[in-house]
This record gives sequence, structure tokens and C-alpha cells, in this order.
Amino acid sequence: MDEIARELRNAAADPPPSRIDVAGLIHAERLRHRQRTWVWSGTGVAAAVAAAVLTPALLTGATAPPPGGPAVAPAPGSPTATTAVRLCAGVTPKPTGPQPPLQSYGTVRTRPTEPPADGVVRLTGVVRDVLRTALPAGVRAEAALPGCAEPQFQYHPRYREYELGVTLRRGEERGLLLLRVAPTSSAEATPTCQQSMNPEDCRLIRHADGSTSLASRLAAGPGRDQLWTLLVRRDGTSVLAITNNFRSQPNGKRMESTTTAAEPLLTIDQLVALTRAPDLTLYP
Amino acid sequence: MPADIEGYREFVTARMDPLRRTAYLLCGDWHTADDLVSSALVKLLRHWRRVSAMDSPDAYLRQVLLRVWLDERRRPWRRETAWAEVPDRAVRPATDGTADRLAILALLAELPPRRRAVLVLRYFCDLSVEETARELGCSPGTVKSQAARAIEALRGRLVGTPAISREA
Repeated sequence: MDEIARELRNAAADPPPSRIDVAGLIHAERLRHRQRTWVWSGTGVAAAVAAAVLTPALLTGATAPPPGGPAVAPAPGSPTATTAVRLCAGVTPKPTGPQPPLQSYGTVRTRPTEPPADGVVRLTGVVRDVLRTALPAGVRAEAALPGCAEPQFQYHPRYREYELGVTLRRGEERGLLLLRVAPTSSAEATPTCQQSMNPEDCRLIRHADGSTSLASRLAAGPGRDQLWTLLVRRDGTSVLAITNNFRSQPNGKRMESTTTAAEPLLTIDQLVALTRAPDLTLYP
Repeated sequence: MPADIEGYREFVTARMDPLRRTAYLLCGDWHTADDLVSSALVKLLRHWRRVSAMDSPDAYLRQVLLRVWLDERRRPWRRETAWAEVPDRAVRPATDGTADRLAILALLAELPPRRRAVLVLRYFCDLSVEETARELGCSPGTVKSQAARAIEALRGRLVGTPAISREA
């Protein structure tokens, strides 16, 4: 046995200089992680909201209903919807493939039981109240959904998320505000800055009610900032909010960004406060 | 990305040398060994938060290295190819030390992969039968039988090898 061990040691006794660059590995992995976080959190939500915004326009064209369309009554038994919320007839994006079955095993965490149609009504009522009262002076929110006078949540069946896109305006300045309300994924259950849009500029805020916020900023270019915050509630709801002061759009094969405001129209603290609206939850 | 990058760096730096040697004994080529170790270190980095809390991160890293090596062997460009005429090979300088080293590596290369892994883990990494079995995902009995066959094959060939290598 000792003889074999000695032979093996002798065989590997004279290694050439290592070609392994640990710092390079860490740097490459950091870039990959940041890119993935960016794609999945920012661009992913933006794409989903863009789909929600563009689909009705493409499908209904000139026959879009007038602003302030039919009033939808609150769902029976809905605990928070006390007044009728007017919804415009936006088209809810449909999944492109078959829906995965909802699991019902005992080991799976509780899923929201509220029907999506009721959830849209309730959450839209909540967010309209919040946007009326919580925005800073001079900033107003306009619906990004064509044909809609007021902001409105859309339910995205594929991801089982509620999403809302809003254009913030202050004079000539404008910016985007995206909100996503979704069940907390297992990966987000214990929030850390590594999950944020930019782990190098991030802070973790623990609130007195047991919920946790991640707040992060990403410089997308000179004078262009994107603010990102994720609230993880104790009840299993996560609320993501993103705002920025630039707009990116394709120009030929290139993406071009234009600055739309001197700085984002909401501060990171205002964004955190927005996500903490008490009724912005999937478990009312 | 794990928060404890410094911890990862320290861990990796301390184990780099034995890890490269282990990879070399598995694959028989230093360049491939460096590639295998790099792949294993990237996988370790992605799970470092969880792995650093384990009782034995070394065992995890060795397991990753073994899997990376076994996966790499299955790639098409690693498979043996048939040649109509045997291509020329580079002549290596054969001092006594290098001849012995090449002999043991050639003998290792003739062993089936898992048997080679058993030998390297048991006699180079100094793992017990139970630890080796855990890392290879087999029973201790399998490790014992594989080790016995590997040693038998190695001893049988080592007896005749020096004469052959000296002649060469």
C-alpha cells in the first residue's frame, strides 16, 4: 500500500506552474451573475410589462374601448375592495405554452387562493390609492396601458404574477415605474444583497413588522440610474419595484438609451415605501 | 455570487496544489488537470454560501472534481479514435525519474475510470474506505473490491515495467 502511495506521490511530484487564475474566475462569475440578475429582474419584468402594454394595442387596434371603461365590481367576500374599481378592458397576456399543473402536495408552500380576476381588481384599487397619496409633490402617474385612464394591474398567467407599468411625469421629465406582486420564490425567501440588481450597491432593510427590503441602484450610464427594490413580506408575498430615468429602444441592430429626467422621479426610500403599502399582498 | 469571496479565495488557495495533483493523477495530463480544476472551482464558487457551511467542503470539492472529470471523459473529443496508420508521437525525455512517472501514469490510464478514482482517493488523498465510498456514491464493499483489483493489476505490471521502460 505504501509503495503505491509513494508511486502516486512521485508521479505528481513535479507540477508545472499553474494556469488557473482564481481572481479571473471570480471576476468572470461576478459578471455572469450580475448579467443574469439584471436580465431576470429588470429586463424580464420590463418585457413582461411591455407585452401587457402592447398586446391590447395590437389586438384591439382602433377599437380600443374609451378610457374609463366598464366598472368591475369587487369580488364577493373580498376583504379590501369596498368600492367599485373601474378597469379598462385590457387584454391579459396568455401563456404561449401549456400551463404547468398547480401542485397540491402538502410539502408545497401555500399558494394564493384568490382568483386572478379578483386579485386584479383588488390590487388595482390598492395601487391607485397609493399612487394618489404617496407620490412626491409634482409627480403624477399615468397609465402605460393604452386606452386606460388610470394605472391597472395585469395578471401574467405564465409566471402567476401581477404586474403594473406606470409612466411617472413631472413637467417635461418622465420615468418608468414597474411593480410586480408575486408569491415569494424559495430563492428569495431569505433575501440577501447577492439577489439584488447590483450587489455592489445594495442595502438590506429589516422592517419592524418582520418583512425585509433589498434596495439597490445601478448606474446604466452617465446620468442614467435604475433603482430597484424588493420587499419580502412575512405572509409569502414579494413586491418588486423598479424605476429609472432613461429609456432604451432599438435603433437598427443597436439599443439606444436616452435620458428622460435629470434623476429618477422617485428616491429609493420612496420606492421602498411604495412597496410597503399594507394591502399590496397576495394574502389579503 | 457568495458574499464571502475572501473565504472562498483562502479556501481555494490552500487547496490548489493538492487539487491539481489529484486531477493530474485522474486524467494524466497537467493541461487537462488545470481545466478540470478550473471547472470545479467555478462550480464551487456558485454554491460557496452553502458549501462553506458544510462539515467537509473538501469532500464536496473532490466530488465535484470527480464528476467534472467523468463528464469530461464522455465528451466526443476525448474518445479514442481509429487510425489507419498510427500517427507519430512526440518523443519525451526519459530520465529514470520521468520513466517511472510515465510508467505509473500509463498503468493508471489502463485502469477503468472508477477504479482509478478509487486508487487516487484511497492512496493519494488518504481517504478511508467509507469516505471513498461516500465520495464515489457506492458501497464500502465496492471500494474494497475495486481497490484490490486495481492494486493487483498495478503490482502485476509494475514488476515487469521497469525493465521495459529501461529498455525504452
